[in-house]
Amino acid sequence: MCASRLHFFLALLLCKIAFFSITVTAESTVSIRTTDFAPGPDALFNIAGKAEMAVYRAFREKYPNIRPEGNSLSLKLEGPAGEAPLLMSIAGRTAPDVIHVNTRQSGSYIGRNFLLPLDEYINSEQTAAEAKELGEYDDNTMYRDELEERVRPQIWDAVSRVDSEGKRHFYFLPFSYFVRVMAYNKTVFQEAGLDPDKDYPKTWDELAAVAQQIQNPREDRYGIILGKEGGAGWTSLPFFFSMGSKIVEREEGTGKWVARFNDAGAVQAADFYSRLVDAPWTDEDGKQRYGVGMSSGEAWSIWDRGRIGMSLLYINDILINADDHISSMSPGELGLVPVPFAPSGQSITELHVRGLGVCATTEDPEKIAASWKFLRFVGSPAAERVIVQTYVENGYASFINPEKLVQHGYSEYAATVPAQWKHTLKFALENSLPEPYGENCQVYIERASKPLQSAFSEGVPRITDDGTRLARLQELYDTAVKEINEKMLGQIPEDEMVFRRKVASAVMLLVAVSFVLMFTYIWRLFSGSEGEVKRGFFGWIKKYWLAYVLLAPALASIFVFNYYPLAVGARMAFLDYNVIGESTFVGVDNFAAVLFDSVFWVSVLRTAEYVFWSLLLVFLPPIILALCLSELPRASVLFRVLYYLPALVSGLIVMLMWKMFFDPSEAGALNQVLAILDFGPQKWLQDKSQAMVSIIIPLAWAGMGPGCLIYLAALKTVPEDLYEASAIDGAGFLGRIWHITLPTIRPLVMIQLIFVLIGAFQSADNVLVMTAGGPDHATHVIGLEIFYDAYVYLRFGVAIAIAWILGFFLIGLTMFQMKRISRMTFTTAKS
Amino acid sequence: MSGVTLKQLKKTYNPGTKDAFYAVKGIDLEIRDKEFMVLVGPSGCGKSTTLRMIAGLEEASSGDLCIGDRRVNDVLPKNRGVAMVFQNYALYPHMTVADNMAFGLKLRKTPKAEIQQRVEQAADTLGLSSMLNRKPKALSGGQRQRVALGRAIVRKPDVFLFDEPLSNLDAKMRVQMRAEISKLHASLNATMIYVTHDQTEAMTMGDRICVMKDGEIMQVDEPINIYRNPTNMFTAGFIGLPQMNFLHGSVMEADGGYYFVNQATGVDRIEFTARLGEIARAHLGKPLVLGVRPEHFSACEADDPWAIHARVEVGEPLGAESFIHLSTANGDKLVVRLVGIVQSNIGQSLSVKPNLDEVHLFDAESGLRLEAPHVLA
Repeated sequence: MCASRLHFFLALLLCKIAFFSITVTAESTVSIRTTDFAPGPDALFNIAGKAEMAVYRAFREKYPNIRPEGNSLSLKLEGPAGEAPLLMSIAGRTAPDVIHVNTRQSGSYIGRNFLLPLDEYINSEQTAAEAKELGEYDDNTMYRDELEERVRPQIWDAVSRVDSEGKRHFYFLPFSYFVRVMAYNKTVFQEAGLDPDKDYPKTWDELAAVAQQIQNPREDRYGIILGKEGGAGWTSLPFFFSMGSKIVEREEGTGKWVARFNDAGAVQAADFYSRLVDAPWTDEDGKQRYGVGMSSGEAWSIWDRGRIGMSLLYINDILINADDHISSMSPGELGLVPVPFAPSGQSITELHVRGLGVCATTEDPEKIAASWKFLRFVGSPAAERVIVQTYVENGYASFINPEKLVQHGYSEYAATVPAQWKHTLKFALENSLPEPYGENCQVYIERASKPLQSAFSEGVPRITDDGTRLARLQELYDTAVKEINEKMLGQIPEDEMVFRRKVASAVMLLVAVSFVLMFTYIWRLFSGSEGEVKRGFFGWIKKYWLAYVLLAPALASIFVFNYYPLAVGARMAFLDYNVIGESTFVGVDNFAAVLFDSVFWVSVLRTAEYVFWSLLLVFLPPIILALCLSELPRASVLFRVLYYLPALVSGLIVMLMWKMFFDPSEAGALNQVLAILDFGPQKWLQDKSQAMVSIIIPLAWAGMGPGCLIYLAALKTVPEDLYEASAIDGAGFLGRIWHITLPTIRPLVMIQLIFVLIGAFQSADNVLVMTAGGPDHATHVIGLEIFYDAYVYLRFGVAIAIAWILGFFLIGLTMFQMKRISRMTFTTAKS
Repeated sequence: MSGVTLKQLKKTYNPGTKDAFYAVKGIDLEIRDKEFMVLVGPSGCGKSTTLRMIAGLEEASSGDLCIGDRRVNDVLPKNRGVAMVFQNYALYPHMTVADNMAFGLKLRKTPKAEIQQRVEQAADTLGLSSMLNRKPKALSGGQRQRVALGRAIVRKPDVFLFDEPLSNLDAKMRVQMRAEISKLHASLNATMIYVTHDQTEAMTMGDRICVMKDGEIMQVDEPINIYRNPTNMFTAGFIGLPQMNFLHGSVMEADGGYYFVNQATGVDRIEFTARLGEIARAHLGKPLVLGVRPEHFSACEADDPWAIHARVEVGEPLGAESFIHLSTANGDKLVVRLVGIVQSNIGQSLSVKPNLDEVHLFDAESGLRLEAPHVLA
């Protein structure tokens, strides 16, 4: 193309760009991305979603120049990892401008500078009237009166932080409140001979008695839904609150967060809860039973079938029965009462807040301003009115908080709302506390479940002697609190820390030395032969320049994508790394945190388990299959193709497909196969003892073909006359394989072994997709621990430290592999 | 007691299909106990297949295969009491020399001490004692083949089978190993069956030679008998180096004697001796082939009555003897061996005459030697 023509095109292009920028400026529409209240992949398609869309439309009407867009994060992960995609997007600077925040996340989000302080827009000192009087009123500012209306007093501390100068900064605003109450199925009560309007439990003792009266597994009837595994900490929270346990509180003076859920009240709550789950009792028929609840994975589907008496669940401060498990129950069927009063005389439940904040990665002032307008609007009375209107128009009027009905002009319906529901909502909102919201409290639930899980597995609730039982519980909770203070809240005594730092320094030194040794070893292994003629530097360049030029792109890409991150990572291992804002240097503390973390050591154990199963199911079968296929006199190509086909399915699809096969219900594909063979349904991924194997099976299934193909190629290189010689020498089928085939393909077997081993040590993605480490850490491998530390606990430094330690484990394997590869010669197979 | 007997032994690949290939077409052969039998023939003649059937590596399609008194058609290779030496040595690359040799004994659960003793003895015999701990990779071709021999020896088999064991060795090593194998045969006193396409090996090593072609046996006899009295043109041509010259023509009677006349021109008339005349009389006028080994020619005057006139194409003086490649007027090619250094120029005329006591007459159609009784040994 000639130069003038090129110029012409460039000019045309510039004109077009200019034209578009002019049109954009003329309209000046600001797009913001948000996790809630916008059409997008995460938009709901139920009545709540409908209400959200109505709010969205109202916002667009009010601010036509601001266009909120849905969140593009459509990756869904299991369990605690569910919060990871958002954190990953923040780390990758692709997060939405307006992000969803709840109380338990708020501490970490604020501590990690993920949320923009809303100082510019919130004035908590003045009311609007005061500002108007002083002539300082700004329509875009939220004054104290509006703030107080929006933020309930219990969460004032959660949404804001006071800095060292005593100034309060707000970081997010709630748009919706939920409180946990006790729901009960009146039909079940009647069936159990209870009067649903009178006999619902008001105290703990009554709760235990009523649940016991209902509990009758023979008639497929159960007392109450209780979490037994990772959810136990969450289910039991209201009992702890009611006993006055502080759970996690900010220490006077230091301002540091300290776990307190081992105080006397807490242990009593834990005792009551665990005895609900597993205390021994004898039923009418004299049969020994344990617990008055239902805690299996199907509990909620049994509730939906109407076979469970009670459950603790959230009701909403606008649409009371918003929860899916009660939304279809009529007031005649569903009772809603406050959580029973504790021996302390209190009934305090959990307040769950959904809020929005502006993500700190948003830098464009226009977007920040637009984001503020958005998050101010969606929780405002105007938005609430739209929501109430949507619900009313859709026939939900009788289930709406009567106060809101009156407030937004639907007083005529207020009387139709069941009085019991109304009182319960009001009582619960007034007698509730938010979830813990200190730094790292997003993992509180999981951690607080551990002492309960231990208690269940030890059978503590079955101990009849109160003193012994409480003492053991106290021990378990003391340990858990110590651990949580160390790992989550960073509370470790100084002398203990000194010791840990010493150990960590030694380990780090070991890691560093072994890495240096390995690199020198590999360097020597692959260095050129000694016979090379010595020539000057320029002579060298002259001879090999083309080779270096050709190598350059590959070298550059390896450097940029492997070694540069490695170097940066090495530095991060010594920082308390923040994605946004300054990171502080912490020396070897990250290594110390890892080495003295029991979860890390659990993950090491799990990794060993994973490696074992990988060897058994991923490494060995292809060898055996290849040996069998190579023996086939005919149709071997057909079988090879058959076994190879699964490899054509991409990795993630394989995982998701098998996850469906592993459906633990009787309708699950594998369970149906088992049913044909007269076996009962298995829980697969949800069973602690089966989960690990179940994760490996898909890998074995998909890896069989390709693995086998490599060996088949190698088997072709075994000279036929070796087999003949051995046949004459007296070797049978097995002898031949053992003495001839295996030794001949041994180098390949070793290489494959190392590949499988290293792959197994590093695996995380498939585990994340299948179980996310659960149930109860049964599949929590090291790779996953790294992932969790980085993207769930936001401890990037710790994650990197684990990665280095993992690297240390793999050094030996890598050296061996390098040595093998350096000795290998590659030839084509003889036909 | 361990002769090998083949009765109507057949091997057919892909029987009953259009790709059916008859590798061995029903051969009868009796290999005596302690005999050194050489199976020789060109590529594809079925000699290796026959050997592999004896070893049990190939299943016979039909016929009987007996080792000693035992029919072994359905016996596993390891139970046939045979040991085999392969062309490519077939040493187990991951085992040391000693382990290679001991492998068969180990599988047979032979006591350790005995294994060691046998291996050492074999190594001693074969000059391998110093390399017992080496891997095959570290050995030369000749050494490897010796290990292969050792592996066979330690087993003390009834029958040794050799499948072209010297083909991969260089010429010098071949000569040396040839002698060693012969020596082994003498000392071990075992039955050996040796497959080769090299007639020198066949001639020098075999007690008897079995010449094969296209899956059939052409002739079985002692080497010298095969050389002297080949029963057909194939054997005549295959055994002997350079190979026998064949002159195509017919016999005519004139002047009371019999003459061999070249068919095309009738120029060269060779008067037969009484012995040949006797044979020739019965085949007057029929197309015949006169077979003369190169060494049974001598140079003569152009007017000699038995002279064949030809032109020199190539001369190969080797010192003790010279091979002269000639072309006759009717296009027959001859190779003659003359004693001593014979200088010859390309294109030069040369007259040679056959030693009529040593020539053979063959039927041009059947290829069978005339006069000689066509009986298999």
